[in-house]
Amino acid sequence: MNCEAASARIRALASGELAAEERAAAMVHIEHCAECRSALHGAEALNALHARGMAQPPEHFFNTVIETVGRTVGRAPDRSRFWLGAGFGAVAASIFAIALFLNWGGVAPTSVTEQFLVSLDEPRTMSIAFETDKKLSGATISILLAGDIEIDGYGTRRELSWSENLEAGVNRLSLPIIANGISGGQMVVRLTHPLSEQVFVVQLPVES
Amino acid sequence: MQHNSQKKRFEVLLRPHFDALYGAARRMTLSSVDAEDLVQDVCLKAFLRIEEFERIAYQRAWLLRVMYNKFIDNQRLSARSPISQADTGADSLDPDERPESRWLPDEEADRDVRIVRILMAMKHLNSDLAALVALRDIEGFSISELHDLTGMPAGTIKAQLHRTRARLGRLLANDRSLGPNLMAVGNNNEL
Repeated sequence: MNCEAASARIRALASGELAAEERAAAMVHIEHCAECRSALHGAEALNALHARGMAQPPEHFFNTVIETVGRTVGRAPDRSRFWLGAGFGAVAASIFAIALFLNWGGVAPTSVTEQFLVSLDEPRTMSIAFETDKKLSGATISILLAGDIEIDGYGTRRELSWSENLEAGVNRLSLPIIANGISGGQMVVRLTHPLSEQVFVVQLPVES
Repeated sequence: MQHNSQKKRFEVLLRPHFDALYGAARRMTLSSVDAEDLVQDVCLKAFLRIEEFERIAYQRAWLLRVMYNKFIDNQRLSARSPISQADTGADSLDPDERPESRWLPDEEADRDVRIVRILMAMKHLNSDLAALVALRDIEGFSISELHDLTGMPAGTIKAQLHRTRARLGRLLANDRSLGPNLMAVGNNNEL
């Protein structure tokens, strides 16, 4: 048996579905081939993930997702929940800052639309300030990009996500944004936590 | 009005695949909260690209591929977050927010450790290749379906699957590549 033949059987071998005779023949090759031996280890690991089974989603989670994505993209701007610090201004030369006052006690998530001018020539730093009055463990910050824009240093990546423990006070996220086309784009930022959720959309037109 | 129509279309498109998407996310995460976050992110992406999503022949495979890509990206990016604290309050541990400790039977604990090691190793894979091998070996898609999804020739897919499995196997055989926290609990011969 050669590598190609062993490779074709590795999945079945890892999951114990190969007949004894075929298994023995495959193992003769694998014992002498480091690459196929590693591939078998890898296949066994993937089989272990497969064996974790199929959990069912929590009740109502589907509806929650549909509502959340609908809110994220479609809700009308609600500026009342934003704090625009006097030092920042709505659109400063190269710094854009938004502070989110997190809601506690089951208040519905908000979606806000803002605008930030980007340039084709150089990255401009958008600073997003997440303000919370208490420590926020296990928050997830997700960023989704659409259109002719990039986060400088991340190439063509369209999605970024981080798990964070936010401290009480102001936590600042700075993103260098650059346009790679004249059409501009859009950025969706979502902060989620079991106790709170905030979403905002930033339109990113290109400076003419 | 148009937005509501889009939402309705998306709901109809997503429903048949939602349980499979959640199930896959739950396999790859250590908590239901993480799984829910992952599913929401994938759904948001699909919703923003609803026109493309509607035209795709293999919608489930597409969703799962996005999910696996995102999982790998999340794993990788969590290690290099750009978040900085501009102004912090008390920084001591809040006893109410400490994770609950729970004792597990040995076998269950060993299995959990093994799963953590595998998930840690997967973040070292190229995210496209990790998604490909996950669709084949975890989700059970055929080579032919993967060909239809990716447009790659079957021979290329097979070769990439083999190389990616081998890379994962090597990563698992070398605990040092998985980070210091796991060095103490891993067992090189376990796999």
